[in-house]
Amino acid sequence: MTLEQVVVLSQWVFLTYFILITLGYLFLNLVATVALFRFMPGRRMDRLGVIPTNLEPPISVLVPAYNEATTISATVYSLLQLQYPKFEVLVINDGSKDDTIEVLKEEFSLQPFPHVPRTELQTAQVREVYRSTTTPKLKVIDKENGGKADSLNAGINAARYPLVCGIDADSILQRDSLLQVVRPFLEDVRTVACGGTVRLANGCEVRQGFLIKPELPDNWLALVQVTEYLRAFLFGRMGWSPLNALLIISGAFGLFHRDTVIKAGGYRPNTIGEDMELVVRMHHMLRKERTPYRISFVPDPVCWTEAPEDLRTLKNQRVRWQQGLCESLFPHLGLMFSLRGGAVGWFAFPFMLIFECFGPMIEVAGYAFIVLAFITGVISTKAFFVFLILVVCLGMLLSVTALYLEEVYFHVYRKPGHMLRLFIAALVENFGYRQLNSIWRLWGLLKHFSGAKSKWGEMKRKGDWTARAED
Amino acid sequence: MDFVTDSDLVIRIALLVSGVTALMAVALMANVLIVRMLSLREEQREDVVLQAWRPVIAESAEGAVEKLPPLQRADLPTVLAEWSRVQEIVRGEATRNLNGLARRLEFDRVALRMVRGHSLRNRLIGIMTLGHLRSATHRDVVLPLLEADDPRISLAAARALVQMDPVGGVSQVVARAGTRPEWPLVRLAMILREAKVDTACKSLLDTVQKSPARALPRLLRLMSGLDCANRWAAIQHAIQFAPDPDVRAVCLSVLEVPEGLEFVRASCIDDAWFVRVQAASALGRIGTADDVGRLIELLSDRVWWVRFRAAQALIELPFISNEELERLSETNEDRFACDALREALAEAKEK
Repeated sequence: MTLEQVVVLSQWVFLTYFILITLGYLFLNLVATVALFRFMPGRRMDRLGVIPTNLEPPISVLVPAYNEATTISATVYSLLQLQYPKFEVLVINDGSKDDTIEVLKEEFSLQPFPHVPRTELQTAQVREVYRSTTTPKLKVIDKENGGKADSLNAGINAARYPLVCGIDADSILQRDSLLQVVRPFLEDVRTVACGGTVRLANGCEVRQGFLIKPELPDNWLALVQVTEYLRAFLFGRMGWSPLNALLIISGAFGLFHRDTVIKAGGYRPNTIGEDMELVVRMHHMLRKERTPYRISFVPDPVCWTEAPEDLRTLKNQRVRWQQGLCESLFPHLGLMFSLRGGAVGWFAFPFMLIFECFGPMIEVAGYAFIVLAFITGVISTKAFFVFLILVVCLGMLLSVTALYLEEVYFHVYRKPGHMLRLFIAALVENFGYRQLNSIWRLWGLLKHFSGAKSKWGEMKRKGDWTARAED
Repeated sequence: MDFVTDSDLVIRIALLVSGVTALMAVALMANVLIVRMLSLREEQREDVVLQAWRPVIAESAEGAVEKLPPLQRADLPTVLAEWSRVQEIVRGEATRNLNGLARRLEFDRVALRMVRGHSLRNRLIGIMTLGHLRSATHRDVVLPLLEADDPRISLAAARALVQMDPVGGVSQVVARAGTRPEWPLVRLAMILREAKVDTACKSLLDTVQKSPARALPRLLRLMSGLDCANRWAAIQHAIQFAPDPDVRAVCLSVLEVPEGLEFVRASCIDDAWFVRVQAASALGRIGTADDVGRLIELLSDRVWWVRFRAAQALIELPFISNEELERLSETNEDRFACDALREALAEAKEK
């Protein structure tokens, strides 16, 4: 093959890839738009005259905590204020090296509780179970370190209620988050799991652990991630949900049917993407068994989380996410194109594998090829700029469609300047941010294949809501 | 400079795709801006309408208002939604006064037009308004909406029917309750509570006796949610005609009367563990001194949930003191039974 043929072929490959991924996302966008169009008017009306009754299924809220001494009290206080008829809060201290357990003992007057360990799911050893003498709905499980998945499994073992809601210790919820996310379980008895939209809390006003006023962050890195989250949730997830092909429920906030999780074997320990892996496994299992089921998504913002504001932390996060994606998809390749795979096996899984998992390889190769070819004179200046413009335009289109959904259906960011800043962020992210992201994701992919053990990096958080919560 | 290659076709396609996507992005951006401007204008308009009408609606709940502000046709959904919102929070005389205002402004005519329209939001507001008007005149318009595929429409219609006709409406809604799984029980219970609970319970019992086995768990749970006094009759029917373990478990979970004691006792040795769990809990509610031994046996069940519920039931029963249970937790030869008792006792102490 001559150099000319290689160059032309490469150009075709990259062009086709970028067009296909954009078309895929535009299709998801279309599905999400139709779903939101059907969903939103009813949601507004539902809020008229709705009061909780005692028929809502009770929920066990699971909060894995590792070295969270500074924030855990505020988190627990806010969780205890959630609006829901019946729920318990289980904090699982995963062998923290700091004073997490002491803080909890003192703040909530914990006393040892003669808990009988149930071992429906295998976990690291539980040292002690405590119960708050001031707040009976709070229990704390103190266990040997085993990771987040292991902690969640310990929580599931100890959970008393049929639905379990895993949240991150630093998640900021809304008072009605549980009422929102339980709705698919009430409306469709086949529902086994449900997630909600996670948004970024950077810059927002938070009081007593609850979000009071949504704002945009001043930090540009965080601002760019706001549009990224909008893309990921408003059509990345809302698009797959009506097809019952949702492969991810964020670990920051997700509600699961306890017995189904146990039947699937619980969260897989020693993985980073334990949230996604569980959902993929549940799909795989339930499809194999031909059990009718629904894995749903509520588009309302139910959980707010803090995004990294420096490149190092962001890099670690993205590398981890990519490793987590690989860990979730590769053990379940059998789901892809299986006879009983349905939309998840035939569309969502291959889409994730090609565009999300292996996509960074093609993207980085594409960027590198274009730049190198331009520098070495293999392609013309015109060709270089045409490809650059193409990448920017495709990226912009996806971001703008997410902003469109946000504006039409949610309107969370209300100031006129908000939308302008989000537009600028959607443009700016194409110059450096997207490319960096692709490189980090490729690094995560390579780390996965090299067998490097995935581990939680340090997440540098500003956590300024915590200080305000204690005002 | 000579270039090794530039595929004209690739570049032309790339340029074309860039142009199309750029146009689409700009069009969407413009659309977002237009939507933002329109929604701002709509919000401002709504604010103006509500500023004028909110005090009028509040005042009319207390009695007739002499002079009404002007009302444009386009503002009717806003006013009707506000009127409905106030209807949700007032009772008795205030409701009648608000309906007086509605008659004066011919809200029924407006609501009927909205119900026949295409906008889901307006249809829901229309149905809700007809319900609050509580006039059986519009029953024939709302009744067919019970069959709507969209559960938001059918549930709104169910509520309106119950408000319009607390007897006939309830029986229509209850007749469909077992076979419409997309109607959340929570919402159904709320709707039926708006009628007389006795009427709803009587209707539910009639429906249980005519329903297929698959509908029984929902109906029984609904009866429990409404705290129906006639649950036992429904349970008896369910046990007799639907010997399914799921139905048995639901029957046990809603059983509150001593007449069902023999059924509960028999269920303590059921093959299905989830039936034994419910049997243990039911004994805690209605058991007698004779059941203490039965519950102690269940403390050694192979399933944790059964042991735990049995321990909880023993604590709830007045026939055995906590001191005796504590002794039992120390002396029982079965370690699992002792663990379950200790846990339940600790929990009970903190309540």
